[in-house]
Amino acid sequence: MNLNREGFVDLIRGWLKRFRSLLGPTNADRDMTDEMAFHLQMEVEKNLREGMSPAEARRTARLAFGGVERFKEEVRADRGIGWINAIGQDLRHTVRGIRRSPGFAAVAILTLALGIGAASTIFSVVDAVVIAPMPFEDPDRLVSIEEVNPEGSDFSASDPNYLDFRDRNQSLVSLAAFRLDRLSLTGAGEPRLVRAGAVTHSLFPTLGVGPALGRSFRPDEDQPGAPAKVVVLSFDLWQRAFGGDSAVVGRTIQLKGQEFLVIGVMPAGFRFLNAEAWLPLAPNPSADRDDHWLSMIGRLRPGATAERAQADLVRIATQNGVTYPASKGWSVRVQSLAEWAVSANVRQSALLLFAAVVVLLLMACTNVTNLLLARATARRTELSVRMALGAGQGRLIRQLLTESVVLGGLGALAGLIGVAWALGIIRGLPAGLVPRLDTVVLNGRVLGFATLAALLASLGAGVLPALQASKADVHSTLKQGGRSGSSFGQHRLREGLVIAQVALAVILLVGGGLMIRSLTRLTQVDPGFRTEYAWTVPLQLPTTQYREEWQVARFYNAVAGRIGLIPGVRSAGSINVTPFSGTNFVNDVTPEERAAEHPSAGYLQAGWRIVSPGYFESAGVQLLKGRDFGDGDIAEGVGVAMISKTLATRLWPGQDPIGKRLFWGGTDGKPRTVIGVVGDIRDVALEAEPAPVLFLTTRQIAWPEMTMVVRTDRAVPNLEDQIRRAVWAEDANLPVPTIRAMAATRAQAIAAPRFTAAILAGFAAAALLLAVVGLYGVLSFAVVERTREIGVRIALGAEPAAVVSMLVGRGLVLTGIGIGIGLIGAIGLTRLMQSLLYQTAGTDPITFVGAALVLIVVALMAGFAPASRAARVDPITALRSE
Amino acid sequence: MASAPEHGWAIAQRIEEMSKEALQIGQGSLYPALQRLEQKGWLDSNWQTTDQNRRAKYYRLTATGRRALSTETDSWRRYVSTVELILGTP
Repeated sequence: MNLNREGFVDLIRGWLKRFRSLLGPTNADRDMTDEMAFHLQMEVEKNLREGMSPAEARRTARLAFGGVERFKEEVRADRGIGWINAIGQDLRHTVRGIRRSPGFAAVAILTLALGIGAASTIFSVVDAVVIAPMPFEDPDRLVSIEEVNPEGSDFSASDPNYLDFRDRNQSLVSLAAFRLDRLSLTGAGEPRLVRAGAVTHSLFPTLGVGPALGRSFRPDEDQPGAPAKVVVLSFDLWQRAFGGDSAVVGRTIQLKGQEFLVIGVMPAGFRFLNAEAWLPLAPNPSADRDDHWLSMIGRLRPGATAERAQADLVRIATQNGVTYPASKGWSVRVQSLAEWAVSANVRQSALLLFAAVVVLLLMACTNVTNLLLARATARRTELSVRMALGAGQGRLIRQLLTESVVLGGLGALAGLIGVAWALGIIRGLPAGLVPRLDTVVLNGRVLGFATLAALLASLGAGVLPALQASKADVHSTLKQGGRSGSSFGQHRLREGLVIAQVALAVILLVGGGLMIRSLTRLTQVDPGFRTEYAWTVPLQLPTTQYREEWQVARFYNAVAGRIGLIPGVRSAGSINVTPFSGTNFVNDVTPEERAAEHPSAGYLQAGWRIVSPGYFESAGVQLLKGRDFGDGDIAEGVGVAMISKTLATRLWPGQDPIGKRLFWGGTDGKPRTVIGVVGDIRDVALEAEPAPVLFLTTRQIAWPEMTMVVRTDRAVPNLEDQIRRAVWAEDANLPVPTIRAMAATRAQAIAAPRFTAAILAGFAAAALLLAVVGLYGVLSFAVVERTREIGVRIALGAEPAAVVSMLVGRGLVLTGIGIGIGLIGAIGLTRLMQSLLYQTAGTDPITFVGAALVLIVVALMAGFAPASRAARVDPITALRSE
Repeated sequence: MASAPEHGWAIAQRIEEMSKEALQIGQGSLYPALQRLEQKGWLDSNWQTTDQNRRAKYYRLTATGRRALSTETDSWRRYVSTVELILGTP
């Protein structure tokens, strides 16, 4: 635009006027009113001068001017920056409206708060667990690599296999190995057990994370046979045990009874397997290829994919299978680190919960839609008057939508308060329940999600009522004298919404019901031992003080003896695997008579445990056949073994296993004689079929890391203290053992499905509540609308019972249609959760029928109150009322 | 208004007179139009007292408005003559 200075000033003045009118809209409005009033006054006077009567003069002036309000509205729309103004006006209207009907507003806001709050809470869980990137450099390029045994299960890697993969691969920049250990840390306050990662020097460079203080490992520190005695601390351990003192770097500390030089501290946000300290791991090229104990993590070369790396490493595994008999049939699996860290099950649970919460949000929206529809019907007269006075249709729609967005905004605020509260609870859940769950925060992504959800929910809930209301026929509404009835179409719409709600509620009920059924079955699983009145005491002996096997054996014997003396304790035994801790030991087992066919690979793989005599009694494992280990089974005597029922049937189907002999590990050693058969146990995963297990005795193999299982015959006060004192009486330097009730450990083993089921059940309950409110609302409204008709019916002699059954029947019909649709939807959707269910079909008929019954009962209850109100309608009042 | 400041009613009267009442639009529609012109910076307004001692809002053409008036008049005349040319008015 071509402007000189003067023109520019004029333009600016025009703009200033707009802004002034924005700041003081009421002033501008008064000016406009005055101006138009002046105009009319002048016109009236002109007409009077022309000889009209005062009344005629006024009438003619108005006619000449046209609709005053219409032009005012037009000027307003143009004034300032029109839409901002209009929004301000809409907001004022909304606030006034909310103040006028606080009950309606409270219900709508609470409903939306429930929906938005629940959805945002679950979103923040999904965000922390699934979406948020791992705290490593370029985490997408990291892969986890596991060996796969001939039966197709994932396995750890052996030292020489790891070295082969590391040196011969063509698809990885680097390949690191690690394993987790628990070490006792002494000399820094109370002795304590720390989770330590033994890692190759390449781990930190592979992850792309450097220390915050000092340095990490050098290549010369993980040489075979001589790992350097150096340690890198985690930020947390550094803070807790050393008070964040930076002088700790360069000092030596006592780990597993040996001196280690602290060389570095990792940064605060770095977490890897929850380890608190890292030591060098030195893989030994001449170790047994059958000794699988390492985990591997690699970084892909630029351009390489996980699939290419997989093919590359399988090639190496296949070559090894040809070269070494022990590696025959072994393969390898490469997956992205994210998939490995967050298992498919967890991922699926998170997404299932998210889907469920979206359904809940939809229900909340439907409810608010229904509320708004009812309100719009009640306000029809008001809206019609405003239309008659010149409010445009678009303007009305905008105002109604503003109302629902304001409700949504308030709902989101209330919801976010709920989210903050819920996240506090979630962060307080036991660690290890779901990976990364403790990192859940109310971050920008969550706020963004809540905002988006609020906007979509409020627009979604508001758009139908707004369209309906703005279509109101001015003439007929005003002519009816503002009688509040709703059109046929509107009625249908509300009923349709109720059907949708019932259907959604059915889906959530079925989902929640299936999870609860599955959970019930999981809690009823027989683990093979008795968990009540049993306590587990994990102990770990430093190999420096307990160098000889007899020292280890003596210690555990002595501790078991001391614990046995505590009043109320019936027995104490020990095992090298803490039940439900996730630890498992697996090795080849071969019957003596089949050793020739299976020279090195073994006949089958079975879990193995080392137990003390009396362990089975303490744990409550049933002895089915033969005898328990005894003090007579000594290292110098005949090698003995006990086997689980499943292992017995797998090794010698249909035969008596007692007295038979088997090889544990390689078939070149001495076979062991089976002396007894015990019942199956599930001590790793409750949901899996019991695995075959082989038991060896502490009298023949000493193991430094054992868990004492203590059985009492009653609740013993101060049991934990007494057990601790018994342990410290033997060795005062042992870390404080964490003593836990076995029942609690067992409950924790199914904490993840319990968590999912609890949340789904909560959602189902909320959905049920929303469905009740929806049904109740629609039926109550129908009664109010049909008061006149019901009055006529009663006047004509209809029995109150007939009126009740008519209304309740209507509710049941709507519910029935909703249930039908919901059940069909549930069949489709629950198929997606099949893998999360334990021994429960996704189409479990009891759950489906149960969900339908619950809704029918609820529909009856929701319908009864309005219906009985209708039956009490007094025909005379009803007919007079309108 | 091109010559001296005027208030809305007077402007409406002038339009009616000049158009010989051929324009039968509601007088009220003048006000949105005036406001739009003001926002463009073509008009300026202030409250003054009339001869009969009443408060009224007076509109005055600004310099920009004057220039715009001549441009618009020109282009309108060009438009009209073009239409006449096409319609072949004698």
